[in-house]
Amino acid sequence: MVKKTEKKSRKIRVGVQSITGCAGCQLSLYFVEDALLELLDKIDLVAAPMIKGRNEEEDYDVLFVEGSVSSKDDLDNLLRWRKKTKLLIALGACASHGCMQSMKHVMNQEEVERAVYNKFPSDKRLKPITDVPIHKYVKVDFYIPGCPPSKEEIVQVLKLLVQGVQPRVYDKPVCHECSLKENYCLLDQGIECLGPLVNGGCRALCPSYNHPCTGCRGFLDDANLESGKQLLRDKGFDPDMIIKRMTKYNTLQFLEFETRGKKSNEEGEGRG
Amino acid sequence: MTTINLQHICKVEGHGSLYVEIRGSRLKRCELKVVEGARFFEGIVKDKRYDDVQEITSRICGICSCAHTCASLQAIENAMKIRVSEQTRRLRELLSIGERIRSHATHLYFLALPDYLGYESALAMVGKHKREVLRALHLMKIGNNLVQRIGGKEMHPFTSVVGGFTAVPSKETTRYLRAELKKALPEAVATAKLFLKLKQPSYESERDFLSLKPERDAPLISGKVCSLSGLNIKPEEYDKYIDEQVMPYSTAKFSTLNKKLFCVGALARINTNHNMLSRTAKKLLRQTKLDLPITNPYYNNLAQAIELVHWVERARSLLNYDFRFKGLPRIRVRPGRGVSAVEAPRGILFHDYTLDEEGFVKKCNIITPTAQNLRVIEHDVKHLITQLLKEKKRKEEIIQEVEKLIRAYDPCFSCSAHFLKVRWVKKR
Repeated sequence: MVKKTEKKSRKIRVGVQSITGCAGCQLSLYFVEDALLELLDKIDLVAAPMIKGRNEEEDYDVLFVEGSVSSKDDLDNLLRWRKKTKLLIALGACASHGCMQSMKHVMNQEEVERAVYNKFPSDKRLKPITDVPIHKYVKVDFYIPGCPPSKEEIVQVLKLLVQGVQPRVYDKPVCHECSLKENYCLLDQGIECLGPLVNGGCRALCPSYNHPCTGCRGFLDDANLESGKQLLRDKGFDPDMIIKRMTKYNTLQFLEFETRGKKSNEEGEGRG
Repeated sequence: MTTINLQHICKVEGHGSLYVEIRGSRLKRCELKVVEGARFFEGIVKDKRYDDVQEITSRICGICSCAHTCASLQAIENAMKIRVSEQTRRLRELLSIGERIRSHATHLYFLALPDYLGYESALAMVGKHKREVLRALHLMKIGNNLVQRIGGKEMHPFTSVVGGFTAVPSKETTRYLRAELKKALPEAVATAKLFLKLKQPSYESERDFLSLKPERDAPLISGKVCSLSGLNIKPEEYDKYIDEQVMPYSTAKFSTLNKKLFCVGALARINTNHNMLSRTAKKLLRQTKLDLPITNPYYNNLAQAIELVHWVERARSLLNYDFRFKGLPRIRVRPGRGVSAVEAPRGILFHDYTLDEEGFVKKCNIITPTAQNLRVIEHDVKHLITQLLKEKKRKEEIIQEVEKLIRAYDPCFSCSAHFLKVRWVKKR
């Protein structure tokens, strides 16, 4: 039997929903371990189908969505959820930037599909949409990027939201935190690192383990991709490989930068 | 004709749905559908260079990213004929163990246990069963700690690369992890004892069990592919025995082994490799007083709980090693085909790549554990519904039992191609 709690809760109503992805982002949320029970004391988790049997789909104050729009089903769900929530937060790289699956935008779609299915399942609901981050279809109020997002950051955002404070966007490159940590620059060691172009806030995690930044938190809004490419070419990296690396998590962002670059070039020439 | 739509079966990883059609008291149709959007990973890695592949394929699944990492790297190393050091093998095994501990703990306490205790979620259990919930969180934490300190982050580890590691844990880290694992052992044993006490529904059905069989120790990241019925093959021969088939209603493919039903996962591993378990784990298995092989799929939960004990002990002994960083690995690129089979938390995972002269992927095939289990799950659901219809059970009871059965298999729909929705059509 369901026990009814008469006490009216003034806690914020939080939902965690997912569309196509690896479910890693919402796992990151549940992996906050020690903080989890304390956190759940402060919020009302009304929907989290991965770990809850009873889920509500009404009046969310905050809704986290992970995954990218990859099928008709995904799109229908996303559009419905947007109407039910005050604040929509894109959780993770898929929802924020499209992640790996969006690489299909720079590949031959048909060839990619053929490599997996000789004949795609006929159910209409399964019809693939070339994967896009969620802001292509709905308004997104805040982003927590990263693949997966750091659990500290998720807890931080939730804490602020509980207090009714708008969380702040981190907008410095990975290099900023990397140099604060006094890491030996990977680019200087001849390793293809995207740190200068990519949104930080990750405490320069990968470079701190001698692994180059591959861009899971997305490009900075004011990143100069052209000079980034030039820098990498000057270091002797293969131009094709540079593009493959840059499009790994952020294909759509990359394409937007390209068209923006072309436009400003044309305008520049027109004026000259 | 009545149409009943049960929208979600929750508490599984990913999106799936079940379509059931009943006419009178007879089951007409039963289809297990994976409705996870297709991401086409095997197509995406095409023309990517060997050093980018692991980062991509790891994203197939958040829960078993370490298994995908190990399988991916080992397959590429096999293709380029690279041999890795004892240290690298140890670290990869530790990554996989960390992942297994947290995956089993999450499944056992957060997904499966609420069914048995009659709660909608583990979070709802906090009032009366706080000790159990805290134990789950403790075990998840130690698993996360292992993966994070060796792999760089909790999910999608990045320190493991083709040929070796970009960083290794320091002495302080290994000491810390060993101490933490020591604290986790009684928790793991308590978990096994808890699941020993739970009453499992009776259900018997015939199938074969497939798992890896290494020369020593329980299966994890190496070994031959062996079945209980006597199949014994090298990982690269998998495609001769395992058939994958596209179903019109599912983005995940369905598999058979030599045209027969089979299952993979913790229960299969216990059935085929029980003599390789650690001493404490063996003792616990004897306490179950069950005849081996165990054919009741609900016991997959208990099998996972017993495994938990084994892996906590194994991780402690693996950490007893002097890890040293000897610089980034140097690679000689060679063309060829490489296959690797590893035991992910949910069963055998195959990665198969063909590389060209410059180390770019020309062909890729990945078979995930859940894709291998889908057919047997569908088969069991059919059986169970028929059995319950004979017992004249109500719809709600049937749905509840079916969900419990599916969850016992711990399916991972992200991997297999996500959420379970049951569509229930009743025709008179």
